Amino acid sequence: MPSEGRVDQVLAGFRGPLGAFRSALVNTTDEVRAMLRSRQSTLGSRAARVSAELGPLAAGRIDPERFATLVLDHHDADPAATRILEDALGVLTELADRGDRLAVVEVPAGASLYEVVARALAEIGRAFNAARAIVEVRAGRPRGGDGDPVVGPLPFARWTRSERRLAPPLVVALAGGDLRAAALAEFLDGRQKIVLVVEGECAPAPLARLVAPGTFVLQTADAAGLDRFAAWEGPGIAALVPESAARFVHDPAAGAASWDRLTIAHTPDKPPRRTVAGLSAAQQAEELEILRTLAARPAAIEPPAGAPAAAEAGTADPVDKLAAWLLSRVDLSDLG
Amino acid sequence: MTTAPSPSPPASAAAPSEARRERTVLSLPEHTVEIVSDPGEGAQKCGQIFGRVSAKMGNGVWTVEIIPAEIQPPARQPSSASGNRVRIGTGPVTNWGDHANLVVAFNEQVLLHRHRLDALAKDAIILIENMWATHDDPDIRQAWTDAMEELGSASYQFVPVPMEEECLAVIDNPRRGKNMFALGLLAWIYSRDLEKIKGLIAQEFRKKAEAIYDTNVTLIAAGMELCAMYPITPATSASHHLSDIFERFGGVVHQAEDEIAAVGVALGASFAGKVAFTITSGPGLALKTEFIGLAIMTETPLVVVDVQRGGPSTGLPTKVEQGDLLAAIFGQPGDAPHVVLAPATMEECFLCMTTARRVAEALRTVVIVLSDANLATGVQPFPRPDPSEQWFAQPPDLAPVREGLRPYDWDPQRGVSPRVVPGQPGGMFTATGLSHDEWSHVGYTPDVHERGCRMRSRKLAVFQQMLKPPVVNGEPTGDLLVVGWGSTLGAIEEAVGRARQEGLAVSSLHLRFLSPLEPGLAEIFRRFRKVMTIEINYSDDPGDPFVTAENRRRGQLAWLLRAQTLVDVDCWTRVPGEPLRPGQILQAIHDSMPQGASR
Amino acid sequence: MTDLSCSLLSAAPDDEEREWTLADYEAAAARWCPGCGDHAILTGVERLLEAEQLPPEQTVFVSGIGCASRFPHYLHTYGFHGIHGRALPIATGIKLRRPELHVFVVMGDGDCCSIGAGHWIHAVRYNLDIVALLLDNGVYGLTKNQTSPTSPKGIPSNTQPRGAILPPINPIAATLGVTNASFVAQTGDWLPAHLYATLQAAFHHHGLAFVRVLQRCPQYTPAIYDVAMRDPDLVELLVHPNGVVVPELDRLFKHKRPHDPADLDAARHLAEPDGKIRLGVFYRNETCPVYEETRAVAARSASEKVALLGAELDRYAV
Repeated sequence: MPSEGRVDQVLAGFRGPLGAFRSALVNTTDEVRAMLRSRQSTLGSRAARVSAELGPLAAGRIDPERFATLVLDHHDADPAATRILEDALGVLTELADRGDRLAVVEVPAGASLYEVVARALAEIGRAFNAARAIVEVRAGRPRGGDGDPVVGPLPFARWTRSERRLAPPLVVALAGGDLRAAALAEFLDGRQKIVLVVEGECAPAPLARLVAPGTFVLQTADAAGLDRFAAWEGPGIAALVPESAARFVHDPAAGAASWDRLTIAHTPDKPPRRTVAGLSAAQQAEELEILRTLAARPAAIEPPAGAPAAAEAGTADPVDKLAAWLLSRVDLSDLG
Repeated sequence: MTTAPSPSPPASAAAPSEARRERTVLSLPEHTVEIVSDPGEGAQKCGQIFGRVSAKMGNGVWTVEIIPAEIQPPARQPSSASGNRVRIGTGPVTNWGDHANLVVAFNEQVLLHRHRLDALAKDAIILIENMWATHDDPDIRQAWTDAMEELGSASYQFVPVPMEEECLAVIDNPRRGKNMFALGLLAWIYSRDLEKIKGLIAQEFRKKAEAIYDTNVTLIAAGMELCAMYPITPATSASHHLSDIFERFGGVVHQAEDEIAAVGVALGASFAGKVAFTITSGPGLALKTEFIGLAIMTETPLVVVDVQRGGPSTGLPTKVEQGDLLAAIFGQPGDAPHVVLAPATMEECFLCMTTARRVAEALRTVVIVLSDANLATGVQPFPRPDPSEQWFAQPPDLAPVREGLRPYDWDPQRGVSPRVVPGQPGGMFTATGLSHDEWSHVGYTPDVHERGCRMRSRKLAVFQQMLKPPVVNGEPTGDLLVVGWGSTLGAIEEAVGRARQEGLAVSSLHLRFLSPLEPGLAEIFRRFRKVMTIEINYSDDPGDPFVTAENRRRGQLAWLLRAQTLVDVDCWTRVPGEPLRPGQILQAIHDSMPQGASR
Repeated sequence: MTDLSCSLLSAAPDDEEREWTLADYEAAAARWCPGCGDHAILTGVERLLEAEQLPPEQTVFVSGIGCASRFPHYLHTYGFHGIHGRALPIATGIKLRRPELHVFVVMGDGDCCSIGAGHWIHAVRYNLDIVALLLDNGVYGLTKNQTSPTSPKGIPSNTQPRGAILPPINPIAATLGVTNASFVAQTGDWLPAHLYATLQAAFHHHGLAFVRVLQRCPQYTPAIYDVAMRDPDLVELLVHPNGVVVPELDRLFKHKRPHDPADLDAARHLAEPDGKIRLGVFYRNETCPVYEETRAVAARSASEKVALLGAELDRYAV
């Protein structure tokens, strides 16, 4: 795919969070291994293990069998629990081995962006599912039966608050003609970031409907602004769009009012004429209009001078109302 | 593989191509080489590469650095001597030997220093830069003449070498290439492999200050994730290389604001479940004392490495001594039982950290590792260790704590209690340096303090029974048993070997665990007519003025062994600021043989 | 924040579903003297823990030695009651290797500004994401009334019976002088609403939040803030949306000074003694590098470490 170079460029900007997620996977696999060793230990195997842990200097100097009595194991021979741990270890190892590729997905031509993203996140969710199974075994209540496999995907909707802060960013390569982004709003929570690498013509402001007070939204042609996007502590969506599309940044940290947060760098000269990605010219024009409205500073309001008055503005922010209205207008029923 | 130095050097080293044809090759079991220069002239690097090439060629090697106390002391002063001693042999080499057989000296003053220290064999071959003899400066010419007169009292074989002149033929600044010229000389004399040398030179200059074998790699092997340190000689050399590579292993070297903070940071990380270590030298150990007591009191595992140097106070910062033994064991006010362990070789330095960490974790206590400047800055090849996944620390188990489990649930049978770390649901407690009960609640009654002390002491007793009795080197009975610890192992065993060849009934014993002491010592001691420690720390000689059997201050291990075994353990100790020489030890053995010893 | 030492196991729902109540954070009954400001601070901290729903097992309070340092014993979280002056190094070690834990440091004035002053300066410079509370009552209380570095000049004690000889150290000015200081605030034990708002702001700050709490020792310095308590005119509140705003105090205090905490020069100026007691956030900068993030390294599994170690050994192979 021609977007590959740009995908790698985006991945490079997410070194930190990608590394953090991989570190979490690696740390967890080490924890599971330790649990397995501890659970399967007998006095004899414990002596051998202790001897290895003490290293060659202890050979002939420390009696491993006696030393093993100092080591407290949680011996548990329950084969079902052990199997769950082993399965979970398999999942975590597999995901860790995939490295950055775990965070990259491609939308096949004509497929639903929403579905591809949901599936990719659920695939990342396997790590959380595995972790939950481990936690349950550790707490002494392993999942019964075969109905709920450890290895299964876990949809984003079922992720916990911490999991939503831990998951890696998702980089999605797609054709402009498949870019229907509004439905992605449901994945914008915690610290979840989605970056769309768009190939070919797309609507001028496909992300406009996703602007919400706490969500970083970025449309860029040359990856400018991705560093700030990556550093944002909350959720965010970004698109690398063709030169013809609008370019704007909505940075929640930039201020309390929508016009402080939203900066438009470029809008197309010509109004939309034809349907793109199922969006009519009118819908596209509507999206551009949303941007203009949010970015416009009402004439009566001066830039804040650091006075306490600015704080009160927070609750009455029109953008909250607007965002709520926008979300209510997005019909998700035919996309799931 | 045999070393093959030429016993009679070429008539003119300046014309090696001619000499090469004439030279005769001799096989020697071993030889000791010194390279000495002013600091900054690169003699140390030259020695390091020579040692490493020799190791790569399969020789036994032991190198010791010759270090002045200052970074750039004045040139051409005896006290400025900087360089390396490299002892190579056909078989394993376990210490730096007695005297150098061949010396490359960049000027006569640094040579004079080694001469005055009795570091050179009487018939040593000396390759000396001779430009000073004809120097423009009359003072330098005079100094040369005076030095040569002093050196003339020995029967050295001098080979004047115009090093600078030869270097100028190749490069512009001879002071920057002289050490490589010297290396070339040595390579030629000792038939070293030039290709290997070229490779090593490339490696040296690609990356500066690269260690050969030292304790650094060890620290990773121990699976530690945090080294908190404050710069101090000679411990710093270990942390340099570590800083360079530790992050790749997922570890961090934290340079703290002071020695106290360094141990505090390590203790904090250990409390949080990531066993950490701190590395220091004597003055730093003194500053860390209160925190070490806190770690023992809160039963938080912690590893403290003390690279010993001469003391007290600033003492001899760059030189070896074994003066911290009693401070390490007894330095903390109050009763503070913990483990003290001393590696004896560089290989043991590599391996001991794994052991130290695991013991600290299992016993929930402090392990102090006593290394010294000899082990920290020297080089010795040893079999390549085969790392195991189990050498690395396991992640803390953050499982919920079982209801009713107390943070100090001491098992009277073992003295230990399960460790609880932050993050474990249901295990919340406040660790405290105050005397506390099983719940870590501050104790207000006398029995709480008694019980805490008893349990912390009990685990040491339990651990001591897990140790195996040490193995005697030589016959299990005899006239004299020499007991040592730490870096003196090689020199002691070489001296004992020579003594046994002379027919003396001498054996030796080398301790690794010093607190608790390894078991069975009294029984081993009873099988010898006399027991004597050999240590690099200060003790009164029996014949010294005012010194009596009653007031004699003995070597530190001797104090310990006498107290612990009730055996009248004698000692022979010296503090020369350099490793003990086997010849010195042999002499001490001769002087110490009990009356009526068999020959 | 990029946290590389985290495990997936701590993100599982078990830890999330529970709602924590104030009672979950309470431990042994505090043994401070009646009337001691520490009680009010403990109450404020418990409120904060409950409001933020911090899981007790993910929270660590670290202290040194002194009256204030008994703090962790009275909370049902993890705690480390260390040695005099050395709470900050312990907290540094904890946060550096377990960044997912919420770490609070509680120090007295002797702890922080005297025996541990070196750690104070350097901890501010490291700027770990922790809350550091200086409980400043201007006296050594536990050891029975000795002059502390923050004792007002002239106040007698057992070690300086004719009154403190030197003018006191100014902890706010000193902290503001340290490179990489990122949050510096002052509050008082007699204003629970302000104390709580300040604790909240400190907790939400990303970096080391240094909070000096002015308080009395009912035993030895009962009167040091009497004047200020009786005469609110002596107190000036620093107000700003990025600092603390406490509407309840509006009626009580006439003197309110808008002060943008981003302005370091103004903060330093306001920290100089001029007869006013200023409460609020002097300085706040969310962009200062945070040490545990700067030093974050990717975790390596045991097998990866073995491979790396093998490669390292090969470089020295004979």
